[in-house]
Amino acid sequence: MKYYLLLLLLFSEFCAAECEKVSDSCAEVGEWEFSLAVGAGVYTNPLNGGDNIPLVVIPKISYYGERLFFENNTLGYTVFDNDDLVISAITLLNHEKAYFTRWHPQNIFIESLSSGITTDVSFVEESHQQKVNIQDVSSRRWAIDAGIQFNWFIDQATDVQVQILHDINDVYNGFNSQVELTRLMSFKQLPNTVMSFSIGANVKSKGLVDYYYGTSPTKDSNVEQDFQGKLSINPYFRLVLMHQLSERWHAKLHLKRVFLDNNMFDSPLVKDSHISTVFAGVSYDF
Amino acid sequence: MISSMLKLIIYLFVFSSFIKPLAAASTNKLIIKPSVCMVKKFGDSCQMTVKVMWHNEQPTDACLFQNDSRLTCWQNVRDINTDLDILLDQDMKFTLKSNDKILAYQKIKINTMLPKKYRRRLRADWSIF
Repeated sequence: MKYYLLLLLLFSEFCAAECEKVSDSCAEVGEWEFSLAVGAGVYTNPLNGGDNIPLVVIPKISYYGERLFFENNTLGYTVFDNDDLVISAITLLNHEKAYFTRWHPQNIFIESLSSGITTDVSFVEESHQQKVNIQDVSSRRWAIDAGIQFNWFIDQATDVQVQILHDINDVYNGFNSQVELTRLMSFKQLPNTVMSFSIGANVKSKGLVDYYYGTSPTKDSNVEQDFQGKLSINPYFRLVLMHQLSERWHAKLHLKRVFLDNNMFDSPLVKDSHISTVFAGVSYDF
Repeated sequence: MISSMLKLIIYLFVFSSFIKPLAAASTNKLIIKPSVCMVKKFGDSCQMTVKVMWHNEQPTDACLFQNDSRLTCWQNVRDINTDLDILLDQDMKFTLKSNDKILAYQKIKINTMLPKKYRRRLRADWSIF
C-alpha cells in the first residue's frame, strides 16, 4: 500500500516550476539545441599509457520535452517536478572506459595529438608500487548506467544534484553515484558574465573500481600484480566562466579537477592522483 | 494686398512641394492585411487569405513575391485590390517588383497563441567532462 502511495505521489504531482525567462539554466521545451565550442584545452588521463585528450572542438546537444530530456550523454525522463525538487529516471554511458580508449563518443571531433602528450610509462615515477600500462591489461568494456537523479533547487542560483546509478549491461555489476552542489554567480562589474561554481564527489562502488582499475594475473595475462578495488570517493570542483559576446556567441572558460582517493590511486594502472579538465574558447549556438 | 496674395501663393507652392512626395509615397505603399498570422504553437504553418492593396500614378507591370518565390503578376496596372491565399511557416517578406525593381514591400509576421515554454536544465554545462 505504501509503495502504491509513493508511486501515486511520484506520477501525480507534476507542476513544473517554469523558467520565467530565457537564461542559460533554462531550456525551451520541445526544441533541440545544438552548440559548438572551439578553443584549446585538455582532459587529462590518469592512467599509465593513457593519452591526455586535447579539447579543440566540443559539440553540445540537448533536448527538453515536457518530461523527456537529453543533455550531453544523459537521457532522462522526469517523473516528479515541483518548485524545489525534480526527480528523473536517467540512463547514460559510463565514461570510465574512455581512459582506456581513444574512440569515446566525446572525442569524435577532437584531434589526436597523442604523440606529443602521451606519458611514457618508463618515465613515470614509481612512487608506491610498480606501474602497469593500460596496454598490458585485458580490454575493459563500455558500461551503460541507469538510475535516478534528484535535482534540488535551493534557490534561483543554488542547486544540488544527486545521481544514483547501476550498470545495466552486466559490466562491472556495481553502483556509482554523484553528489554536486552548484552555485551561479553574476557580477555587476562584468555585465553579461555568469560564473558557475560546483563542488561534488563521485562515489564508485567496489565492483566498479575493481573491474576498471583492479589487476590480477588471472584476469590480465601480462600482469603479475594483484590489486583489488575498493569503494572510492573522489571529490571534485568545477568552475565555468561564460561571457555573452552576442546573441549566439559566448566566450567560455571551463576548469575542473577531480581528486582521486587512495583506493583508486593505489591501483598500479593509475599514475596521477587527479584528473584535470581545462578549456578556453568560444561557443556558437545554432 | 497683391503682395500678401503673392506671399500666400509662394507659401502654398513651397508647402505643396513638401506634401506631394509624401502623398505619392503613401499611395505607393504596399498594404497587406492582416499583417500578422496567429498559430497555436511555435513551428506551426499559417494559411490565410489576405487583402493586397497598392496604387501607383503610372500604369506598370508588377509581380508580387513571397520572399524569393513569385506569387502573381499584373500587367499595366495602377490599382491593386485583391484577395490572395498565402501559406507561411515563418516571418516572410512580400515584395512588389517591376522588372527586378522593388516598388514596395511589407512583412507578414507569425505570432504564437501559446507562449514558448521553458524548463530548468537538469545537467550541468559540459557535465560529460
